[in-house]
Amino acid sequence: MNIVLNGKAVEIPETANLQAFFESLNNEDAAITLPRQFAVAVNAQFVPRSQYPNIILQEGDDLELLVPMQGG
Amino acid sequence: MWKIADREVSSRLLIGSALYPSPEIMCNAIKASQSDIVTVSLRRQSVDGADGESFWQLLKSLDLNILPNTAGCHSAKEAITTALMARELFGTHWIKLEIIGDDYSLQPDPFALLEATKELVAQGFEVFPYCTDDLVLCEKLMSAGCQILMPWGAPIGTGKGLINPYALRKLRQRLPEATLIVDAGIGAPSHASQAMEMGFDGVLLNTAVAQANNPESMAKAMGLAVSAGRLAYEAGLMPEQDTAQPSTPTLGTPFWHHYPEHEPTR
Repeated sequence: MNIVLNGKAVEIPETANLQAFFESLNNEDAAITLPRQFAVAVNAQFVPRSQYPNIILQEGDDLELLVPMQGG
Repeated sequence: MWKIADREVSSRLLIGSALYPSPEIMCNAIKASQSDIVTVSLRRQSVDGADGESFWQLLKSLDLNILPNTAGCHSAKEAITTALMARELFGTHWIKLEIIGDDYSLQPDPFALLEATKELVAQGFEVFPYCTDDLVLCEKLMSAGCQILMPWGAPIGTGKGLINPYALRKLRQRLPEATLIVDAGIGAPSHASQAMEMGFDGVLLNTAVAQANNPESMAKAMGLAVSAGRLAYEAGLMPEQDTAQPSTPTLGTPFWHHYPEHEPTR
């Protein structure tokens, strides 16, 4: 299944919920390294951490995974 | 101490964490400013693997109040999503709401700002809106639930100071209950003092410190300028006059002052 992660197309296993997807990113061959602190939006909707197990990723889903950054 | 939103803080200077030459200089400058509130943002994890972790740990070590922003957003929807993500990421309900309406001047979009403010206040946020000095907009933001307003002094990053002091002065006069913070456009300590002398409650700046030749010294200068301006406001400025008034007593002047050539000419 293909999704878009931070603007980049990535292939992930089928039937992954968000929790399982993030756990899979701990593998060495993962598309990205999972940051320690992050927040997530799926298709421009914020997903609270408590909801990760309930979100089933669909083909073409657009994930934004944001981390702390300098700002003015 | 003064109260901003739900917290008591000492400094009336709010400082940004961006654009410093290095993380170490950022830390030293923020410490030197003696600010209690620092702004941050949230972004995609960069391609080089930087995950914001070292920055975040460094900032946390300063033990300050964190004010996340929604910089880069161009719509109410984007800003609301970003604010929700910021609340979880940084563990605060404070949000500096920034929605750009014009990419050239980085002028805030007043309509989107009001729309997003209503939603975020309903969701329990303390909204710090980065706005223009438009009185009607500011009144509507207050009606929507903002206790704090952050009108621009000048466009972000220009360092031009207070380009419309008349409008800012009027805002202060018309909105005595609001916590007013000049945000953006400050280039020099004198600009920060000017805002504080007008009775603004605080100043938020970033570039003027981060891009100074010596950010640490400039941060200290800004902190002192904000304190001096506030002290002057509390002391009460003398009324401005068009004609000169001698400050030294004229009574008892020596005899030579009474020679005819000292008579005023017309």
